[in-house]
Amino acid sequence: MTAVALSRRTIADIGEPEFAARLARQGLGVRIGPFDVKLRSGVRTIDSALHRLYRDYVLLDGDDQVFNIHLRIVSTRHWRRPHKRMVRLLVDGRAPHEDLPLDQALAVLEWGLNLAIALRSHSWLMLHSATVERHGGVLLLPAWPGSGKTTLCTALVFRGWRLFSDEFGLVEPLSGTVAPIPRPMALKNASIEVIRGFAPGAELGPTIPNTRKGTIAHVKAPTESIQSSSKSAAVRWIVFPRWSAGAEFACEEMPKLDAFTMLATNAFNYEMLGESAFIAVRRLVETARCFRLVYSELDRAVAFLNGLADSK
Amino acid sequence: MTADVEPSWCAGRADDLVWVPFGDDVVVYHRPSGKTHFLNAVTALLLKEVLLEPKSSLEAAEELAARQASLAGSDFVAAVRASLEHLEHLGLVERA
Repeated sequence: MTAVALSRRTIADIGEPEFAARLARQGLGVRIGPFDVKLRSGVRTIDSALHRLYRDYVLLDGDDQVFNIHLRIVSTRHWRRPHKRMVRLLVDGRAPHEDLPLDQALAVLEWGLNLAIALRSHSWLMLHSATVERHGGVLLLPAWPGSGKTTLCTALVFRGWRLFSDEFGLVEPLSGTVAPIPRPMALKNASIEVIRGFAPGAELGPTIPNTRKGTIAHVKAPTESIQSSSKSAAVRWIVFPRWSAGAEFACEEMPKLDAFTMLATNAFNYEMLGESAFIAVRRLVETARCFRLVYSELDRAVAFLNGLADSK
Repeated sequence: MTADVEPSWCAGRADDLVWVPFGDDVVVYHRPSGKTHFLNAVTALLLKEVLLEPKSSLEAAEELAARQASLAGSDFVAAVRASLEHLEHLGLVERA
């Protein structure tokens, strides 16, 4: 009996021309963490950036492949100003929001994937959290938008942490482990230059100005993080970060009750999951060390978190 | 004309609640509503021990005060009565 090697072709293996052709025609199957996603795009201007950002992901091209998510973007025209080109997102064939300017197509696709994951992932407790791993332990960074979690997450990833996600903490309710879903990290506004300076090796996609979240640029997820995206891990640290200009560095271990409250209110689907979410949050705060972190200097925050992970 | 009758209160079914203590405070999950509640120590004591048997708000207040080695003044009784009505609204206590 011989072992059968499963085909694990990546996006890089098909090259950009075929990648673009598949996106435009039958669609392109790609495995992103625990999700099998079918992407279609009628917007040629983002082919090159998409190919670079997604080149390390496993290509799914079997005829009998079943997908968790069908995502499509199409080029349209503004209904009142026909000269203005727009982009429409379709999740399973439906447009979840209004059309947006065509030059934001890449951001629209990434937001669309976030939306589809948020709508579908109810087998996990879904935290709004950046998630990274070091020495086998997961660090959750739950935070509201504007707290700097993507910036901190990106910085950590370029200082030895494995990327799980800059947006989601997918906690398996029974085991308490977290599923990786490494994807491009969406930096906003000043964070783009901060990361260019902090991690010159970071590979950024195009800069997209004037979006509803300001200027955006996506950082490619590290190859190693994508290649090990089937490896879940248990949470060891929960840190609620808040970046504040000029703030003194402060990090304090927090009461478990406060951590429970903040984590339960941070989850997208806490009430939907009911008791299993309650038990999952309880397990997280009982087994992990929980901190509040306020910082203004990225280096200082990264040094602290590295020290936390590297200490016995 | 009838006088208002002071109701008796008792805690809901023990199986309906999942308790997680954090120091003096408690987080409790209420299965019928799917809601999570954060309780202080006195409210937890009320639900977990004092109202195992039906009691009026005065009786509940007196027992709570006794357990804390204090007296149940009128303000305290009124606070307990208000708490009981709120807990009833949440489905955590019932009128006996």
